[in-house]
Amino acid sequence: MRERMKLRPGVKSLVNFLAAQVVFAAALLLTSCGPAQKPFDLEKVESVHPPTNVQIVSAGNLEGVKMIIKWTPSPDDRYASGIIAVRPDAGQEASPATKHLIKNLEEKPRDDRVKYEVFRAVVEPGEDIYSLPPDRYKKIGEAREGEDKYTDEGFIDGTEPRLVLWQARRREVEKIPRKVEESGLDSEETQVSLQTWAAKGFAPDGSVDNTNFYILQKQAETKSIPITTGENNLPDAETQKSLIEAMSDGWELKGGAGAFVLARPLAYTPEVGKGKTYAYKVRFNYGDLSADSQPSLPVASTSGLFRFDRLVNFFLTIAFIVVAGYFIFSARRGKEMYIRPIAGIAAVEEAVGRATEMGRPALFCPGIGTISGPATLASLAILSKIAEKTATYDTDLMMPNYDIFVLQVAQETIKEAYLKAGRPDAYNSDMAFFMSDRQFAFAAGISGIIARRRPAAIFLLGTFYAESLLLAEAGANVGAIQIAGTDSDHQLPFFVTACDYTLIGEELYAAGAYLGRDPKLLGTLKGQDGFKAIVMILTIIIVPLVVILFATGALQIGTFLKYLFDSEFILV
Amino acid sequence: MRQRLPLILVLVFGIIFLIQYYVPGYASVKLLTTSGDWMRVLGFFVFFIAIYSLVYHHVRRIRRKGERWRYSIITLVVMAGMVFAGFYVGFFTEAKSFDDPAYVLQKLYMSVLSPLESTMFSLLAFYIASAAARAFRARNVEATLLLITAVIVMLSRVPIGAAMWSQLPAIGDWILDWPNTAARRAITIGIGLGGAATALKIVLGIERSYLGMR
Repeated sequence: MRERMKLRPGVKSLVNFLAAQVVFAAALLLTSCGPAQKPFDLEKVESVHPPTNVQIVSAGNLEGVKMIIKWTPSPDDRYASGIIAVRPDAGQEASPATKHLIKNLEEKPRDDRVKYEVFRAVVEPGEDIYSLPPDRYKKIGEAREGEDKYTDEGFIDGTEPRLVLWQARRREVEKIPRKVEESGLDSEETQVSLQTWAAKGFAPDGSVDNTNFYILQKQAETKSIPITTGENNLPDAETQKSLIEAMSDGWELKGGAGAFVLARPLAYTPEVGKGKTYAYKVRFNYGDLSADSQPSLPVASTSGLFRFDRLVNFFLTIAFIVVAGYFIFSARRGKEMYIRPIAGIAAVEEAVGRATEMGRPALFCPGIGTISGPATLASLAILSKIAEKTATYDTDLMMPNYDIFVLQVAQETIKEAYLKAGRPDAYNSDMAFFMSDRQFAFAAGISGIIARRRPAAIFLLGTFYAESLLLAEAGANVGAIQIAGTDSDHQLPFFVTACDYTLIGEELYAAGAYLGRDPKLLGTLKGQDGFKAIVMILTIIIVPLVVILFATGALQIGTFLKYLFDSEFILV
Repeated sequence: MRQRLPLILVLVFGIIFLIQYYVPGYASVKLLTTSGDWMRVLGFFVFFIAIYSLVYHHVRRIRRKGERWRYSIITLVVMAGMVFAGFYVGFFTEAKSFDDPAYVLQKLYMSVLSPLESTMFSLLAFYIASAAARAFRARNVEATLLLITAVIVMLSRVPIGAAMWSQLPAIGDWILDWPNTAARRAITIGIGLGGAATALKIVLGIERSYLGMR
């Protein structure tokens, strides 16, 4: 029986939220091609149409307000035709039409005849003035005669086009059995089969292993997808449906390296002053022809009292505080809090004991973070517990530091710990010392200390970067028991391979509460876990819901995702 | 009061800057940038404490003829030399750019410090190999799975993997793009929540280790 192999990325990609993001990104790029329009000959037209839908939108920045002007391109924008040109696979020949198009574009990546220009428009007396989004264009007053903040008309800037092409292709692959005669040639049956498939456009793809079968591949074919934009220059429902159908039918829309994507600059961010009113219009220039858009609504550059672009972040923060607060109060009322055993933290006592037995010192490294870093603060909390143990067991403690602020805090922490352990005489101000504020000088110094002093217990807890493996391997070479923990997820693999125990991610933050067993610390830890459970539940509920709504077309995915990604999540 | 005042300050300013994050406008931004400027000013003064700590540590070792005290002499001489080079360039030359021959400080940095840092960085290549040789052993099921996955990913990164099997790079990419990314994101979420919880503990005064207090 003949095997059939087809490549269909298709509908399966829709069940994944990331695929929805890819489609959104692809649609956003395709959108910039503008509305579908047949190309026309510039020499034969007498006038052009203006851009439309000029809007001023707000973007959050440090000052809370930044104006971005967006517009829909002129329908006469010749490159906004929705045509997708194809770059064939490597080794294959491009069609003559594609070759011609690519050659023209490579020779003239920018057509200087096409340009958008932004002007600040006059605001007439009596015109309504609105607030900036995200305050949702609320009317806040009327323009008054005689005020110069309404009367600045003039050219702001031109926006040059950036020319790229989309690559879209579809491949079909077939696998047919191959029979070879004694002479080494294909059998008659195989040759007939190849000819049959060649008539359908399939040819051997040149696979190395073709002893028993041929892999046939059809030439890449192209497809044009008309593009119409809706709200905020995002593809409308019809275009989205076309994209989904194309992808489910095996079409691949690709951009990036090796391909060109057609795009238009359809936004501009001007300098604005506080408390002034602005209205803009956009001029479409095509050679000697031009057309001005209608002016946008006048908006006042006031920032309001709340950053609505961080609304989701705000609600998540409040939720986190509420959840953590609940567990803190529960802990203070005496409720028993179970914390799962963490091997790395439980091994701290074993490590210090080992150092004592062997008569070798213990070394604590808080990393190269600053005092404001949460990982450094968490490591200092652990330091106090370790210092108590070294004071109790009369073990030498060494703590080289990268940051001078951390050094000051560490000295006080160790001193307090030794006082609490009843061993103030054993405290030595040289225990914590400044090493270097250069990353590799710091690593070299600690590696040297480890090689010479041969500590039996090494604690690498804090923020680490490239020097993590240097320190961990230096400790492994002297046979020390090593307990590591960092918030740098890139360094975790190095610690896991080189250290005996690794506190992964939030276990570092849990260590202080775990060792001290203070009810309030435990309550915060439980609150952190509780909020994480909420995030997990929301993810499990929302992600399939978004995919279903998107697949059924019941939700404008562009609007929804725009709302989501315009807001800053607390964790992102 | 000595213990309460810092806690009160932390609580007040923690709440202020939490509110600042959600309030737009010039005043809000000015508050943030001014506090950042003050942090840099404080950092500059604390820099002298760093120098004092370093000098004190090494002078003490020299005086006591402690372990490898001669290296402490070298440390102090080099430190003094760099300080002198900086003052020399600033006060006695007109050197304005790194290309200027009179920019002695830059020469010392590029000819001495930068190669030394590169040397330390280059050790990572060998340490990675030794750590991998030690860690990737099939002691149990999980370790075997780790070994197999690591071998696949390592081969997918080099041309010989593609020569061995054309699909190997794609499999390696899939492992990095999907299960690895999912795990990293989960860890990142945990780290983010941990950081937020630590910040909350500090603002509420539950965590006091940064003051040297319990």
